[in-house]
Formats: sequence, structure tokens, C-alpha cells
Amino acid sequence: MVIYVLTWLLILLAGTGVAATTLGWPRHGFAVALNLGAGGMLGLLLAGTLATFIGGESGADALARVLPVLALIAATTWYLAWHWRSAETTVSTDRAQRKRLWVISILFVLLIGLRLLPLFNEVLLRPVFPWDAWSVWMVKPKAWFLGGHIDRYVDPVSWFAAGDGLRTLAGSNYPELSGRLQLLLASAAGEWNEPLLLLPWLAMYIALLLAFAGISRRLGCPPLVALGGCYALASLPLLNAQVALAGYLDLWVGAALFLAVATWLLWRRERRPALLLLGLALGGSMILLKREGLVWFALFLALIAFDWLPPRWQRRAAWSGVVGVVVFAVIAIGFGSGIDVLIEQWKLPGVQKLALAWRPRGVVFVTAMFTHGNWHLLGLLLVGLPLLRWRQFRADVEARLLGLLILTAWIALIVLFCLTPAAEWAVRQTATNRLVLQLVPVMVLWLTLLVRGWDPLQLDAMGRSRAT
Amino acid sequence: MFAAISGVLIVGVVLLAAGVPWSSPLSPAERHQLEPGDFQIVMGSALHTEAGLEVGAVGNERVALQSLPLGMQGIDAATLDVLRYRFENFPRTLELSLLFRRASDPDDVQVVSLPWPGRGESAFNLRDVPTWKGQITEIGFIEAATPQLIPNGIPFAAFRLVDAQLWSSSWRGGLAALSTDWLAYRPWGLFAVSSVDQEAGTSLPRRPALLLVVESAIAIVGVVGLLLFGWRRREFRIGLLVVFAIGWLLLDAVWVGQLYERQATTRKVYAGKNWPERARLVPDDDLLKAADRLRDMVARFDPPPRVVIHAASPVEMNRLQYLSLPVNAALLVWSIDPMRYDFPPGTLLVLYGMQDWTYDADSHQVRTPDLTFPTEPVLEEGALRIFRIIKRERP
Repeated sequence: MVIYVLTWLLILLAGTGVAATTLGWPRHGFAVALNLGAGGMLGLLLAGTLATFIGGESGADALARVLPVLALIAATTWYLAWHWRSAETTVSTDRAQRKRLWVISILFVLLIGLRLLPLFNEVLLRPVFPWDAWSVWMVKPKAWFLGGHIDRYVDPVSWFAAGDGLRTLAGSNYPELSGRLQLLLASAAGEWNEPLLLLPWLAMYIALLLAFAGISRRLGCPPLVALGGCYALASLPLLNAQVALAGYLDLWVGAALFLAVATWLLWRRERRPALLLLGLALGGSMILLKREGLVWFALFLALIAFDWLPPRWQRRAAWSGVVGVVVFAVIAIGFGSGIDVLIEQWKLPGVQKLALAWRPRGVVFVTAMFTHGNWHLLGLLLVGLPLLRWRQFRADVEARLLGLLILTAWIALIVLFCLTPAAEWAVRQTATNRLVLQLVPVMVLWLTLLVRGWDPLQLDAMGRSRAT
Repeated sequence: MFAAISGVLIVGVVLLAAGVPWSSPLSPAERHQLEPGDFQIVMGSALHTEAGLEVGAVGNERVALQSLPLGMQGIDAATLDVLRYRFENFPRTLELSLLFRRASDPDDVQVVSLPWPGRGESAFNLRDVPTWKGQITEIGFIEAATPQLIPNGIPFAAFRLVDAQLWSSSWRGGLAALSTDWLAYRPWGLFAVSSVDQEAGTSLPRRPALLLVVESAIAIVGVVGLLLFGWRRREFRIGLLVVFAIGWLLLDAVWVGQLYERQATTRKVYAGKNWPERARLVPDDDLLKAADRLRDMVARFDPPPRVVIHAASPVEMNRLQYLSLPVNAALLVWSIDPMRYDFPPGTLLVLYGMQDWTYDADSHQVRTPDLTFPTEPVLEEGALRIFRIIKRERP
């Protein structure tokens, strides 16, 4: 158990070290939250990535190789962060303001903290529960840990055809970052103890909330808005369910996408290359988490490229995008079967029939935003707030860019669920809500940016100086 | 004025959600008492006491069932459409269902999952059950461990049926049923990780969700405010903000309440036990035992053979694969084209609950209507059968 605790400590130290080096030295309230939150997320992703690429042939190998590297990263990054730290900023000494901020902060911490006890109990007491966790995601690490060797997973046909040393699974080609991290933690714990291996889900949730509060503050939101957005995110039932019934990776993808986009927004303001690199690395980590991470990463890269274009070209790119989507939709709806005939005739390697057609039942995943209890009133906010804050939206380039990312992601989902056979998933509400969940942290960040000029408690003067 | 109009309209939406005919009286005109003392014990055991029906044990299938015949004529389903029920000490590890039989279909028993009774009285709107129609000749309650969630090893705890009534349509009954539908504890389901209400488990909400009522309330405040004050008035924006914040907090309070109820169930099952004990407490402990046997069997071979698992359902197949790790197993459904099932000799073929797959000892074959596997039997224990693939004789 000592090694297990040490592993967590190193994960946190390495992650917060990277966060301190790239996002700045944590001096006060929100900056500390940002460091702990972003650091926690980075630490988990970093440990999983290291275990994937240098983890060797077994859990013992992973432990022996990854822990020293984490320690080295922690020492180096904290040293560099200390060395590069900027001079302390001045803070307001207005006692009334400080008192108001404290009261508001405590109120929101209580509102958010209320759910931590049940979530903690669910994670720490129960053996792995949800379907994909025991049918896909935790199969590999359990086999590797109990088998004492990291065997390669292949599809069933290859498994039968080949000799020993191979294993098979329905999702044999799924990314392995979480599995490698769980193997590392199991090796550190010295036993296959499922709650100890699912604890990263609770850690990821808390880290996401801390990072959200810190980064939205850093992006100019007043404390009330930053904390309100953080509470809104924390309270979403499906996000809570993904923590309580830990084992699915949608929360992880959502957290990585959020932090990638947020650090890129910071880079746009501060132009420090480390921020851009961090954003890109986080975006890339989504591919190591789940396959759909590739789609979100591609959209993220497209957004960066779009932002890089001169305004005239941006307009052209936007119109080209609109025309492209319309043309694709018309072709898919009108000529879907014809496309499949061509695919069949040409017999292109690796290209299967697409079965494109308009499937209106797939729209149910959009209506579920307003009718099912997964998101509280988020659906209403997503529609209503941009209308109410239209002028701010038009004037705010960051909100516009984030809005564009969200719009393209929703178009991708609508194409998937309304034009392809994946519509069946939408009807059964299994994958759809989880894919939306991956976008939720970014969507909540967008909403907070839309109201960042709103500061009824006049807390911003002090907060802004503290956050810098 | 703004608050009054909005308030009246919001109350109207709540009443609409209750699904009660507008002509209904405030209190039920007719009540049919289902005396706990009159219930017959069909499964499990129970005692009739002055305080109610004390259910003390489940039957062989780990199910308790109490039934009440309602006579040849029965009762009219259209008249009595709200069920009120009160239990004491109802275990949170059990699921409660309503059973009824119709005069038109005497051989067919209808079963409907009810919201967990919890503390105090609960109500259920039987109008939401399409099969609640005609004359009802028998009614009853079934209690069983919550499926997919509660391990068999959790001991049964006694509880008491204190009161049950059927009410005719009324606002009181309708609103009570709406309140139960919104607030009753609902256990975690296998798909709750994908959807917290719809498709999340066996006991699903049936009335329009509280979310829809809250959204309607916001829309009402928005429209009324817009009409009375116009877009730019401060009152309009403040009203909208306040009702939105209250709505969100209300929804969150209900959700956090659910989280606490659910963790109470989790604690009831798992708290105070060390990990090895908790690891054995899974809802499908029969599969866990089968996985243990499979692991033992594989360990007897050197080198360990590869395994192909087939079971009656995908859940059982996947669970058996996971629980038996580190056994190197594939699932038959994910394997190659069924017509090419030609497993190497030495492979273990594991069948769980596949009664229609028979073994012919004379020809040393496991047979299905379409396939044959040359095998020799290794183990047969309950639903678990293990065979070893042998060399296929050339025709």
C-alpha cells in the first residue's frame, strides 16, 4: 500500500509540476485550484502515457520504469516552475470584497462537495459495475496483472490462427492508456483491488472541477461566474454517474478535450509556446483514451488552423464548411445506396459499406438534452444563453471560436446518429449521451465565457489581480 | 401580477404532469382497502399481525409473493386507478413489483415494477400501465433482490406491509403518485452510466419528468415576463434568472437525494467488509463460482489451454470471461464465422446455461442443430459444462 500511495503522490507531483511550469506558479486561490486540477489531470494522463510507451512487459516493469520517470519529471518541472515564477501580483485589500468572495466560495464548495461523499463511497466500496468496464476496459489490465505479463490483444481470427502469447477481446484494438494506468496502480497496490483502480475516476472528476474554476477565472470570468460554471458542471447527473459507476472513459475524454481547448485559449492570450504544446499534447492524449478522441482531436486541430487564417480566409473557410456539410448531407440522404454500390464495385481495401440515409429517429439524442435527466437545464442554457448574450457572443472571439468547435462537434454527432446505422445507438440512448458527455465540459466553459462580463457582486477587481 | 400569473400557470403544468382527469374531485370518491390480513402467502413466509403482514422470508427462488383474490367479479380497473401502499422497514436491497390478474385473461399474470416504498406512503398511477384495464380479479406484491445490483449473498431482512388501497381518480392521489414518481429511490442500473433515468434500470419513471416541469416553468416566466415587461426590463431578466437558478437547484437537490439513497444501498451491501469479501459480493455469484471452477480447471493443464466461452446471453459470456481472468478466453459470438468453427485440439469449450447444446458420448461430439464439435467432457457442474476439443476425424 505504501507504493500505491507513493505512486499517487508521484502522479500528483509530476502533474502539478508540469502545470506549474506551463500554466504558471500557483500563488492564490484560483491559481492553486488550476494547478491542482490541471496537475491532477495531467498527472493521470502522463502516468498512463508513460506506462503505455515505456511500461515494458509486465506490471513490475511498468512500476520500475514509470515511477522514476515521474519522480524525475516532478523534480525537474517544479524546479523550473520555481525558477521561472513571476513576481507576486498585487491583491486588493478591500475586506468587504474578500468577505463576499469567501462566502460565495464556501457556498459553492458546499454545493459541489455535497455529492462527493456518495461518489466516494460508490467508487471505493463496489466491485466494477458498468457493462463496458468489465467487458472491455478492465479486461486487459486484469489479464496482464493476474497473468504477470503484458500479452498483446488481437482479433479472434488472429487469436485462433496464431500461437501462444496472444489474447483476444471484443474491443481488442481499443486504446490502452487507462488499462496501462490501472496495471501500474494494481502493481503498486500489489493486488487486483478494483476500487483502488477506479479511484482515478473520482480524482479526474475533482481535478476537472478545480481546473474548470481556475481556468475560467484565468480566462477572465468573475469569481461568481467561474464558481457557478464549476457548480453547473459538477452537478450534471450523467457526469456524477460516470464517477459513481466508474470504468467508462467518457469523463476522461471530456476532461482532456476541455483542458486542451482551455490551454489553447490561454496560449492565444499569452503566446507562450509551452501552452500551445500542452494543448496539443492533451488533444493528442484523447487518441490514447478512446477512438472517438481522434475525431475531437481533428476538430480541435481544424479550429487551431481556422484561427490561424487571416479573417478573409476564415470567412471563406466557414462558407466552404457550410457548403461542404450541405453537399454531404444531400449526397448522403439522396444517394446513400448509390455510394454503397460504388464501394462494392470498386472494392477499396478497408472501405466498408456506409449505409448512409436519413434516419430521423437518431434525432432523439438531441431531444434527450431537454427531456432526460442527464443534464439538468444544460440543454436550455445552450439554446437560450447565446440568444440572450448574442451581442457579447459576436464581440468575443474566444466565445466564437469555442462556439465553432461545439457546432462542428454537434454536426459530427448528428451525421453519425442521423445518417449512419449508428442511429440505433441513439434510439437506445446508450452511446449518444456518453458522446455528448465528452463535449460537456467544453460546452459549460463556453457558457461561462458568454457571461463573463456579468459581475453583480463586484468581485472581479480583486479576483482579476489574483488570477493573473 | 408577474409572479401571480406565472405561479398559476406553473401550478397548471404540475397538475398536467400528474395526469389526472380535470373533472376529478380533490379526494378520491371511492377507496378499496386491500387488507394486509387478507393477503395469501404464495412464495416465502409471512405472519398476519395486527400491525400488518410481516414478511419474514423469501421462497426458493429468493422471491416473496403475497396475493389477494378480489372475487369472481373483481374490481373495475378504470374506476380504481391509483395504488397507495405503505411498507415498514422495506429493505433497500429489494425491488417491489405489483402483480395482478384480469378476468378477461385469467391465465396471464401481469407484473409491474413499483417505485421503492421507502418511508411513509407511496402512490402509483395505474393509468400508466397499459394492461391495467377490465376487471381485476387478483392483486399482489412481489419482492425480490434488485436485479443486476444486489448479490444473492445479502441476507433477507424482514419487513411489513402496513397498508394498501386502490383509489379512484382524484387530485390527491394523482399528485401523490407524481411525487412518488419524481422522488422515490431508484437503484443504479446497468445502463445508468449512459442514461441516469431512461433505460437506467428496471424501475423507470413513468410520469413527465420534473425536468420538463421546471423547463416549462422557465418558459412560462420567460413568456409572461416578455409580455408584461418587454425584453429589456430588469424585472424580466431577474425573474428569469431566479426561476432558472431555483429550477437548477431543485433538480440538483432531487439528484443529490438519489445519490445518497443509492450510496445507502451500496453501503448496506459492501460497507464494513474487506476487499476480498466485497470482490465475492457480485450480483451474479453463480457466474463467479463457474469462473472459479474454470480457472481451477485451466490450471490443471500445462501449458494452460486456450478457452472458448459460450453462454445463453452476452452478459453471461462477457462476465464469465472477465471473472475467470487470467484465463486466456475468447467468446464464441466474437469468434470466427460459425461455419468455420474449427478450434485447435486441446482448446477448452465452455458452455454456460446452453441446454440446447448436447453431448453425444458415442460420437464424442457436442452438437447443436447446425454445428458439431469433436470433444471429450471435462466437467459438468450445474449450468457449467466444460469440454476439451479433440482432433476432428477426417470424413
